[in-house]
Amino acid sequence: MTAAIEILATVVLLLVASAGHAAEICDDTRAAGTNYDALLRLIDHDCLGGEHDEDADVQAIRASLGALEDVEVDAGFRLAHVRAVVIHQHDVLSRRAADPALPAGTPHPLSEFAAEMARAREELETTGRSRRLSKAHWQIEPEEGRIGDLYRLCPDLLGTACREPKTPIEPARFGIAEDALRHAHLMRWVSRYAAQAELDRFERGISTLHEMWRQYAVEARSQTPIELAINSWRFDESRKLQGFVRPPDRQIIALHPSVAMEYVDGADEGSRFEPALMVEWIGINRWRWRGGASPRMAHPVGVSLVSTYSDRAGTRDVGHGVVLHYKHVYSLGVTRHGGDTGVFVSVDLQKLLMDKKETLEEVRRRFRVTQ
Amino acid sequence: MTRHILFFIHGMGKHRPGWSDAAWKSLRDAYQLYDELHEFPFDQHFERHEIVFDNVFEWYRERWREDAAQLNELIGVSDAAPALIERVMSLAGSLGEDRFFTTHLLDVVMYRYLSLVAQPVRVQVAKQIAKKINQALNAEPQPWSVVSHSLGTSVAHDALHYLFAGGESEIAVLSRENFAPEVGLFVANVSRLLEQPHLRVYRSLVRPSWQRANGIFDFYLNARHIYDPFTRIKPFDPDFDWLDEDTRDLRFARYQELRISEVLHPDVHDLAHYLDNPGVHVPFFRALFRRSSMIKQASERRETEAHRRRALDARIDAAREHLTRINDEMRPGVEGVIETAERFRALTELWDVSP
Repeated sequence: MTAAIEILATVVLLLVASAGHAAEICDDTRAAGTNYDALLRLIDHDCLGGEHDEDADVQAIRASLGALEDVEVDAGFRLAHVRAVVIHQHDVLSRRAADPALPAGTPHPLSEFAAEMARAREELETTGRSRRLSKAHWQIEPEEGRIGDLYRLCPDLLGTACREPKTPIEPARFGIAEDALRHAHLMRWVSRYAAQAELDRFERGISTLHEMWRQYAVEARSQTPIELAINSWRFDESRKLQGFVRPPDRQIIALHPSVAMEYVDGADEGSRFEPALMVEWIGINRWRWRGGASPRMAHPVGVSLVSTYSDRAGTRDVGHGVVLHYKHVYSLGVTRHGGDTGVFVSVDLQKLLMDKKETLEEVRRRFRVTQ
Repeated sequence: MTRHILFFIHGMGKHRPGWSDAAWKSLRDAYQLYDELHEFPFDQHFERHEIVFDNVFEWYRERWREDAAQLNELIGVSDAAPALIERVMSLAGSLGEDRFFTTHLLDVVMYRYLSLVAQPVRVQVAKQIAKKINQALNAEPQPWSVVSHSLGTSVAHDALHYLFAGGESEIAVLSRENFAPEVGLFVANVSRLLEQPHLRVYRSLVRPSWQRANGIFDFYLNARHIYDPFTRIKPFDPDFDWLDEDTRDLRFARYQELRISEVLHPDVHDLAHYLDNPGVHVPFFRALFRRSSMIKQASERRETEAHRRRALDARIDAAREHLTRINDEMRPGVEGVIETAERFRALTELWDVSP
C-alpha cells in the first residue's frame, strides 16, 4: 500500500505539466543588470521559486503542490509526495551543481543543498519527518546575504556584492545564486505542506476551546463582577494559565441577586404569590464538559443557600432556605419565613421567555395559583 | 502572488468591522510616498485582516445589563434587602452601561485582572489567526505580520506567545519554525504594563530571534510617541541581552524602538496618527521587505521633513483657530476685554510649552 502511494505521488509529480508563463517583470529585472539588487528584486517579484519563475523544474514542483490546493490528502499520501519532491530536488540540485562548477575551496550552495535533500530523505524514511523541512531552515535573509544557517551567499559565492548591491556579479555566479534562492523559496512551500496536519490540528483544537469559552460566558449561570473575580482567582490558583486551556467546569456562586416568584402559604390572601429578590449567599454550579469537537456542558446542576426578600402581609418578608439549579436557568427552592414555608421558582426570565420583554406582573399571571 | 497578511489587533473600546480602515489608509497612503516601492503595488503585496476581541468583554457586560434590567423591576419590592446586596446590584448594573469607563477602561481592567476574561480573548485571537493562515489547504504559505495597538499589544503578546509555547496548553501548539510571524509592530506598547506575573514580556517567545531559536519574530518594532500618556508607565524597554547573540550580530537590527514626537492631532494615541509618521511606517516597510535599503535614506529624510512641516502647520492652524474663536466670543465692555486677555494669555502659554 505504501509503495502504491509512493508511486502515485511520484507520478503526480512527474506528469503534472508546468503551465508557467513568461513574467515580463522577471526578464526586465534581469535585463537591468546582474547584481545583488537585481537578485533581491527577483525575489520580491516572485521570480525565484515563485509564481513568475519560468524554470521548468520549479514549475513542475509548483504545479504538483498547487494541484493539491484545497484537496484533502491523507498522511500517507502527503509523506510520499514530500519524499518524491525531496528526491526530485536532490536530482535537480546535483545536476546543476556540476555545471557550472565553482573553483576549489568555494562551497557550492547547490551541492550543499543537495546534501541537505539527501539527509532529509533519510530522515523522512526513518521517522516520517525531517527537521530540514522547515521554513526557518530555508529562510532567505537578503540583508545578511544568507539562506538560513545553511549558506552564506556573501561572501562565499558573491563576495562583497551584498554590501555593494549595484556592483555587477559574474553571470555564472549570478545564475548559481538564482538557483539557490529558488530552491530555498520552494522548500518553504514544501515545508509548510509537510506541516499542514499540524496547522489543521491546531485550528480544530482552538475552535473547540473557543466554543467552550463562549458557552461558559454566555450559557452558564450569569456571574456578577464579584463572582467573576472569585472564579478568576480560583482559575488562577489552579495554575491553568500557561497556555490555551478550557474553562472551568464549575462556578462558585456568591452574593448573587436575582428574581424569584415565591409562594408562601402562610401569607395573607393576595400576598401569597409574589415576586421576590432572591440572594444566593454561597453556592456552586457545576457540569461536565462533553462532546469532544462539539463541546457542551452536560448535566449542569447547582445548589445555593438563599434568602428571599419580598413585601408580604401576614408573614415575614424575609425567608431563608436553599435552592437547586438545573441547566443553569431552572431553579427550585424552599424557604422558611418564620413558621411559614415558601416555595419558589426562579428562572432566567430573559431566556425562558425567549427574550420577550414581559413584566413580572405578566409572569405572575402566567403562573397564577388559585388562592 | 502570495500576499503578506497584516493582522490588525485593536485596543480598548468597541470595534466593529472596518475599525482599521483609517490605519489601513494611512499605511497605503504612506506607501505611495516612496518611488522605490511603486514597482511592488501595495494591494498586490499586502492584505489586511482585522482581529476582533471586544465581543468577549461584551459577553459579560451584556449579561450584567440583562440582570440589572430584571432586578430594576424589583425596585421597592422589599425594604428588607441588605444594603450590601443593593450595592452588588448597583455595581453590576453600572458596569453594563455604555460610558467611557465601561466601554474602554473596563476592557483593560477585565483583561488584566480577570483570567476568565483574558483566556477567551487570547483563544479568540489565536483562533482568528489560525483560521486565516489556514484559509487555503495546502496552499503556498503567506507570510504574516502583526500590527497591534494599545491594549492590543498586550493581547497580541499573550496570544502569540501561547500560539507557539507549549506550557499547559490542552492543544498541541504550532511550531515556530514553520508558522511564526515575520514582523511585529507594537504601537503604544502596554504589554509590559499589563503583563501577568506568570508571563513576563522579557522572558516570553515574543521577540525576534535568528532562526526562531528562542523567539517568534524576525523583527519587533516598538512604536512610542513621547506625548502618549499610555506609554509612560512601565514602558517596554528591554535590555540588550533580550536578543540572543546571533540575533544581535545581524546587520539589520531586529529590535527597533521607534520614538516619535510630531503632533498633527491632539489624539497622539491614535493608531493612524502613529502610522502617518515616517518614523513608524518607514521602518515597518523596510522590515516587511526585510531590507533596510528598500527605502532610501534620502526618501526617508524628505518625508520626515515634510511630516514635520505638516506638524508645525497643524500647530499654527490650531493657534489661528483658537485666536479666531477668542475674538469671535469676546464679550463687550471692560469685563470682556479682561476675560479675553486671560484666554489669550493661556493660549500663549500653551504655545510656549508646545514642541
